Amino acid sequence: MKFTLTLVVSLAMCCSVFAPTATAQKWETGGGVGGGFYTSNDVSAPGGSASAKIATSLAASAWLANNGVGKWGGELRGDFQLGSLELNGGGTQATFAARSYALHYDVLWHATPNGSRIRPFVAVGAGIKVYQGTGAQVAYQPLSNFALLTQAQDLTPLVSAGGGVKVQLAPHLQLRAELHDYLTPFPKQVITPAQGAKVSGWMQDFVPMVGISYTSAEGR
Amino acid sequence: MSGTAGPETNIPTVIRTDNNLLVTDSNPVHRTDALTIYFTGCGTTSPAVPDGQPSPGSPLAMTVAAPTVQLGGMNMSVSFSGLAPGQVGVCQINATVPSNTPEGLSVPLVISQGGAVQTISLRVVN
Repeated sequence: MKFTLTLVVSLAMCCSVFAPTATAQKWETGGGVGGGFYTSNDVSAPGGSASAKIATSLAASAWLANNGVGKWGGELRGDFQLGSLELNGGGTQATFAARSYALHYDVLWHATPNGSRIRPFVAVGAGIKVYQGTGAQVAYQPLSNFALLTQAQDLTPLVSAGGGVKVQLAPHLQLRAELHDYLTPFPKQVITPAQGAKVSGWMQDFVPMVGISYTSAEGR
Repeated sequence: MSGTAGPETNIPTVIRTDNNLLVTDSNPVHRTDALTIYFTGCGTTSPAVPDGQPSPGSPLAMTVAAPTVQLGGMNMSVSFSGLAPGQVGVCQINATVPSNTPEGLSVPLVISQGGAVQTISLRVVN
């Protein structure tokens, strides 16, 4: 929780530090909402296997971007997602309330120059992600022979890749539609493999999103 | 020590005060948790309670020999050690988990009292 607070404060500080310069350069700040779609990972145990994932859920982001140098740009981005932890196996399901936070920096390359009304872009970056199990713990959890859904916190590195399009709607108003793929190591503190069970691979989270930005440069 | 916790197996039963539920792998111990540990065979108490009689609520029957309780090698702070009030022959220890207790799926809880030692394994998370 303390780390989460630090993340939020850091993001707010970054925004407040950069805000005064935003009017002098081609900055944009905005936010968006969409959905988080996780892939599942297999948890294997001596008695079989189960599938572990995070349920599809609401995702929201806020960003502060600089589109200064030619077709290149960059943005600091904070993400929040709700989404229960899920275990499925043998017709049984276990769920546990959870949420996640991420803070990352992405480098953007636009297909059209600064000032274009429509700017397709690709983005790649890295950062950190915090998974938090927030559900109520119980003495018996279904499928606990495979994995344990836990009221705990996981801090993981994050790799981000994606792309989208920015459309200038008005002198200072931009619409964004984008798709990101966020990759992290499997969060084993919140979905803990049981004794003798194993899980491998990365957790992959596809996030389509629509957002609005305020741009400092009039007319793009 | 393995098997079902309780007086018949002489395996201590551990409850998280936070949710009043049995500690299991899916209800693990968290650092700084308050735990209530029930077991049998804690020795002489003061005041003494006759065999077969429920333990008094006031005054509480406290153990004469103070126990030491360690989780993952870290000493737990014990706030009560005695007979569980209203129960027959059931011992109770109230203890707090240190903030530096190691995490793990199988962390040893060691209860030492008057030369007797009981050990069980608990899952500990942050």
